[in-house]
Amino acid sequence: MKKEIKNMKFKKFFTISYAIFFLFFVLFWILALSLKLNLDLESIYYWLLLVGLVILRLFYKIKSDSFLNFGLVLFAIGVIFFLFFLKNQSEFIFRNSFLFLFFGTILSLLEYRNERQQERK
Amino acid sequence: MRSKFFIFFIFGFSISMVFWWFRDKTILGVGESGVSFYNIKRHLDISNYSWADPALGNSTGMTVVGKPTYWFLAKIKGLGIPSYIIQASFFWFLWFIAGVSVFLLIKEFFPKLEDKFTFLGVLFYWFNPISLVNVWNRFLYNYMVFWAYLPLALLLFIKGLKNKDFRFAILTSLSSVVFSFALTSIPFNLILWFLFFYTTLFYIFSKKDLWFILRYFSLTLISFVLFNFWWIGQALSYTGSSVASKAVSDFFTTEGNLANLATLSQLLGKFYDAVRLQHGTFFSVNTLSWAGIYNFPLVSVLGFFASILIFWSILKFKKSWGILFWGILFLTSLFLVKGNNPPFGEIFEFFFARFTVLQVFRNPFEKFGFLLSFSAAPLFALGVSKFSKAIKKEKLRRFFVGFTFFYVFVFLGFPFWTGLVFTRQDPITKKLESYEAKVPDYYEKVNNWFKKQGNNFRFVSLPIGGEGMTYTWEKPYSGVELSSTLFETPNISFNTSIPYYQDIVSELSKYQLSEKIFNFFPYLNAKYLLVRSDINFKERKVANPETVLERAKEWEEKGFVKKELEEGKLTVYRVDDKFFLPKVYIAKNAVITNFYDIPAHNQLLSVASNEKLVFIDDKRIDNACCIEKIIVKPYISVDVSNYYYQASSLSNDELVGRLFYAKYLPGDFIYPLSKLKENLELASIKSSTDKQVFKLGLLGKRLVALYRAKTELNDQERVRKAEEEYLNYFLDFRNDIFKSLEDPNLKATFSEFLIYNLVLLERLDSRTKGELSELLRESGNLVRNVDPHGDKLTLSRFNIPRGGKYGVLHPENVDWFILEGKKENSESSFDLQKGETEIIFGKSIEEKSVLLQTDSLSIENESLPSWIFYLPTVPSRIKISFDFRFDQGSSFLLRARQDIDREEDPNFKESIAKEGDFHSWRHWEKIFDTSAGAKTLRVEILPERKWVCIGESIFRKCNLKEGNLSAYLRNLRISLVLDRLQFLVSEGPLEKEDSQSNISFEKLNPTRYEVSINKESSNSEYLVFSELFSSGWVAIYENGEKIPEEKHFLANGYANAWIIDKPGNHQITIEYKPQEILEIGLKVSYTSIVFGVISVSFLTLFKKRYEKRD
Repeated sequence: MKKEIKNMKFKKFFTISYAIFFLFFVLFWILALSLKLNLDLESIYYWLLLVGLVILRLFYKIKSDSFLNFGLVLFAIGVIFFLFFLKNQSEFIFRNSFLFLFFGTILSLLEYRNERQQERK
Repeated sequence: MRSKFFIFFIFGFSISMVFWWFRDKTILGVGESGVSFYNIKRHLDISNYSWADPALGNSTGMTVVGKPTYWFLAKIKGLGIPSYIIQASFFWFLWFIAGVSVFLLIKEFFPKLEDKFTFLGVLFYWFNPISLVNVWNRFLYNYMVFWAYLPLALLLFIKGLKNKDFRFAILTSLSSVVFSFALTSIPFNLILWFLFFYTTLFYIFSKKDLWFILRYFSLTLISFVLFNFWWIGQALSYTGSSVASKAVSDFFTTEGNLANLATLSQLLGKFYDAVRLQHGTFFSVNTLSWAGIYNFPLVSVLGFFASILIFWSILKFKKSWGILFWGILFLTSLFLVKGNNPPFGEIFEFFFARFTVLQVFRNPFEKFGFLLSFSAAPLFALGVSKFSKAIKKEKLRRFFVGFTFFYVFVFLGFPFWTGLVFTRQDPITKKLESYEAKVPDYYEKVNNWFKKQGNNFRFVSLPIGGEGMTYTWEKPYSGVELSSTLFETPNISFNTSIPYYQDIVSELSKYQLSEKIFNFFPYLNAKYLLVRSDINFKERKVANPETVLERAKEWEEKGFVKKELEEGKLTVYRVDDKFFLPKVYIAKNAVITNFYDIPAHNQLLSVASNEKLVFIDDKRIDNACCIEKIIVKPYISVDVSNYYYQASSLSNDELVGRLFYAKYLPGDFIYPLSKLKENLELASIKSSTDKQVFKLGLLGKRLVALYRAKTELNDQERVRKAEEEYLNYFLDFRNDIFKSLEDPNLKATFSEFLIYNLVLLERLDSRTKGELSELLRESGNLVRNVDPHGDKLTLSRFNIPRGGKYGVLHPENVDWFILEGKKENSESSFDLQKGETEIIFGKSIEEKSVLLQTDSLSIENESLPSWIFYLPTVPSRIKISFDFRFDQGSSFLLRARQDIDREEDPNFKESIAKEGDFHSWRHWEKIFDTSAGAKTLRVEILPERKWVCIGESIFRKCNLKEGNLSAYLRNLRISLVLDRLQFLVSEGPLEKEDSQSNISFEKLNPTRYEVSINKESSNSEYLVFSELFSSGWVAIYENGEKIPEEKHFLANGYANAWIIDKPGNHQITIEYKPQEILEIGLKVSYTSIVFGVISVSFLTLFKKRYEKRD
C-alpha cells in the first residue's frame, strides 16, 4: 500500500514536472517565433509531445481509442483550417494529428496482441 | 460468381481504356522513357550485354534487368505486329494485373467485404493522384511495371504465409522475373523487400509459427537472389567498377543529396498533400489546364475524403488484423513520404546520411508514394463499406455509396479515361500536347544507310545540347534525346552526366560552329557528321540548325566534309579521311595532360589530326611511356588584384560598413548573452553553406568589436579581450575557412570579406594580421608584392607532373609573369620541379576586342537603343560597362538575347535601378558567358514593366505597364573578355612520325574485340581502344598473359590505352570482364528458374495427390 502511494506520488510529480516543462517550452517557442528568432524548435516539440503520450499511456493506462479519437478530431480541425487557406497552421495540426494516430495505431496493435495472448491462455 | 463478373469487368474496362488511348494508332513517348517501343530490338541489343555502344560506350549495369521484357517484346515485334499495338497490349497487361491483384488481395484480407466495395478499391488504386502523377503522367516504364507488380507480389507472398505453403515463396520470386523491368530501379527493390520484411515482421508479431515464417521468408529471399542473379551480379560488379566510383565522386555527394532531400521534403512532403495522395507542385505550379481543377478550394478539400475514411476505419475497426496491417503500413508510408520534415524527420535523415544506398530516396514522395497509394486502397474500400453500413437511412446510404463511386470514377478517374493523363503543357504557349510521337520515315532510311556503311565508327550529331531534345515532327516529341534509339550506329548526339563522356562532349559542344570541331573526330572514332533540322532549337537552347548547315557548307568548300545523304530533315556529311582514326589504333607519341580541349592541344603541337597521338592523364605519368610533351592547366586561377587594392582604397568606416555590426563589446555586461544568441542562431541554420557564411559574418563582427574597442575605448584590458576574442574565433574557424576558399559557391564571398578583414587588421596593427595574411596567400587569394597598377594579375597554381623546362602556352596573352619572386618576359622558358608551382601572370588592362564604345547616350521610352553583334564561333565572355543617371523613372532593363534564346528567356537580363534619391552618375558593369551554338547577340535596353494600380478596395484595378523612362548613359562599352587562363607546356620538339606498326581488329560483340598487331619497333607503344574507359576492360595476349593494370591508361580524355612493349606479331583480345559475370549470372538464373518451376509443379502434383488420398 505504501509502495503504491509512493508510486502514485512519483507519477504525479513526474507528470506535473513534465507538464510544466512542456508548457514552458511551448511558451519559449511562441516567444522565439514572435521575436522572429531563427530557432528551429518544432522538432524538439514533437519529441516532447511523444514523451507526453508515453507518460499518459504508462502512468494512466490511456487506451488507444483516446489517442485515435483525438488524432481524428485534430485531423478534422486541420481540414477546416486548410479549407480557410491557413495552410501552415493546418500542416502543424496535421503533424500533431499524425503523431496521435500513429501512436494510437501502434498501441492498438499491442492491445490486439495482448488480447490474442489472453485468449490463447 | 460476382467476383468473376468484376474480374471480367476489370478486363473489359482496361481494354476499352487502352483502345481509347491508342485510337490514333500512334505510340506514346515522352520524358525519360523516350520512344522505347519504336525500336524494341535496339533496346534488346543494349540490354543484351554488360557493355553497350550508346554515347562513347558504357557499362549497362542495371539496364540488363530489362532483358527478359525486351526479349519478349522483340519476339512479338518479330511477328510483324505494329509497335503501337505492342505498347497498347503492354499497358493493358499492367492495368489488368494491377486491377486483378488488388481485387484478390483485398479479398484475401477482407473476405466478407462486398465485391462492389472490393472493386471500388481497385478503382481507387487505378485512379488515385499518385497513380496519375507519379506513374502514368510521369511515364516511366519501370514505374508503371512496379505499380502493377506491387499488389501481385504481396498477394503471392501473403497467400503462402497464410496457407503455410512454400510454393508461394517460389512463385513470388518467379513473378519477380516476369516483372523484372520494375527492378531496374534500386529504390523499387528496396521498397519491395521492405514490404516483404514488414509483412514477415507483422506475422511474427501477431501470429504463431515463428519457425515457418522465418523459413518462408528465407526461401523467398534465396530464390529471389538466384532467379535474378543475372542482374544482381551485374549491379554488384558495376558498383565496384572504376566508372561507378568516378560517377559517385563526380556527381554525388552526401551533402548534395541531403540538400536535395531537404528541398524535396519541403516541396512534396507536406502532410496536407500526402494525406490527399497529392503531388505538392503538380497541381499548383505551372500546372496542366485540366489538373488545375483539383486545385479549386472546395475541390481540393474533397481530397481529404479518402484519408478521413481511412482514419475512421482504423479507429472503429482496430481489432481487425487486416486493418492493423494496412493501417500501420499506411501511417509508415506517410512518415516516409514526408522525408525529413517534422515530426521525427531526424530519424529519416539519420539513416539517409549514414547509409549511402538509402540516398536513392532523396525524393521520398516519388518513391514511397507507391506504398502510400497501395496501402490506401484496401483501407478506403473497407472504410466506404463500413461507413455506409453505419448510415441508417437507406436513401442516404445509397447516396453515400453512389457519391464514393462518383468520387473515384469521375472525380479521380476522368484524366485517365479521357486520355488527358498522357498530355503535357507547352511552358510558353500553354497549349496541351499529347504524348503521341510519330518518328518520321526518314529516320529509318538514314539508319539503314548508316548500317550499310559498315561498323566500328561513330557519327556526331549537330546541333548538340544536353540530355533532352524537342523534335518538331508531325506528332512532336519532347524528352530525352533519342539518337541512341533511332540509330543503331553509335553516335554522339547529346551530353549527360556519364563520367569522362561529359567532359569530352562539353569540350566538343563548345566548337559546334567552328571547324576546330574536326580536331575531336579522330579521337572519337567519328566518321560522319549528321545535321538535324527537325528540332526546336530555342526550346533546348542549342545551335540553330540553319546556322549549322551554313557552316557545313563552308566546311564542304574547304574540303573538310562531303555531303553524302539528304533524307527529310537530316543531312549526313562524311568527314575527310584525315580526321578519322579507327576504333583501335597504335600510337607512339604520348602527350601528358590534365585537360582535353583537343583543338587547343593540336594548335599548340601543330599536328594534323590524322597523326596518331594519344593524350594520357597526367596522374599516371610515372607509369607512362613515350612522352613527347606535357601540357598543364592550372588547378587554381584567380584574379588577385581586385579585392586587396579595392579594399586598400576604402576608409575605415567604409570597411566597417561592409562587416557585421557589433553593438556590444567584450567586457560589456550583456556581451556573453549576445554570444549565446549568436550560438543559438548558428545552431538553427541547417544549410552548411549558410552556416559558413554566418560564421564568416561573426568573424567580421569580432573585428568590428576590436575596431570599436581600439578607437572608442581607452581601456587596454578590454582591447586585449577583444583581440583575444578575434584571434580565438579565427583559429577555431581556420580549417573551415580553408575549405570554404576551395568551395566554388563560397570562394568569392570568403576571399572578398577576408581581405576586408585583413586590411582593417593591418590598419589596427593587430597580431592576427600575420595569420590571416598567411592563410590568404596559401589559398591563392592574396598577392601583395606586385603593384597591379595598370595591369590585371592572375595567380595560377599548377601541379607539375614531372620536373623539366617549361614555357607559357600562349605568350601572346601575357605581358610578363612572376615565378619565385622574379619577373620574367612571357617568352622566357624556365625550370620547374615536380609538384606545386605558383605563377602570377600580368597583362595590361587594355581590352582589344571592343564590340561597341560610345561616349554618351540618351534613353527615352520612344528611343530605346539596341545593338546586334556577331559572336565568335566558340562560347565567349562579354563585358558590358557604363555610367548611368536617371532623369525620369527609376529603373530600366538591360537584356542580352542570343539568336538561340527564347524571347522570354534571354541569356542575360538585369534590372538597373536608381539608388533611393541619389540622382547623380553611378557606375555599372557585368560579365556574362554566351552559350555554345549562339551566332548573334542582341543587346537592348528596355523600360521595366511594373504593376500600376488605380482605385481602391474592390474597385482597385491593376495592370502591367511600362514606366516613363528618361536616362543617360556614358562610357558605354561592350567588349569580349579575353580568356586569360594560361597553360604551361614542356619544351622540346614533338616527334611527328607515326608508328610503323600494323594493326587490324574485329569486333566480335560489344564486349569482345580481337586485335592483330605487327609491331616493328622494340620501343613501347600505346594500343588505343576508343570505348569509354573502365577498369573492366582488359587486354590479353594470345598466350593468356594479361597486360597489367599499371599499363592501362585513361586516354584522350575518355578512352582506354595499354602499353604494348613486346615486338613482333601478336593477337590481343580486348574484353570487358563483367560480361563473364553476366554469363555466369544468366546460367545461375536459367538453372534456378527451371528448378523453381519444376519444384512448384512437383509440389502442386504432390499436394493434389495427397488431398485426393485424404
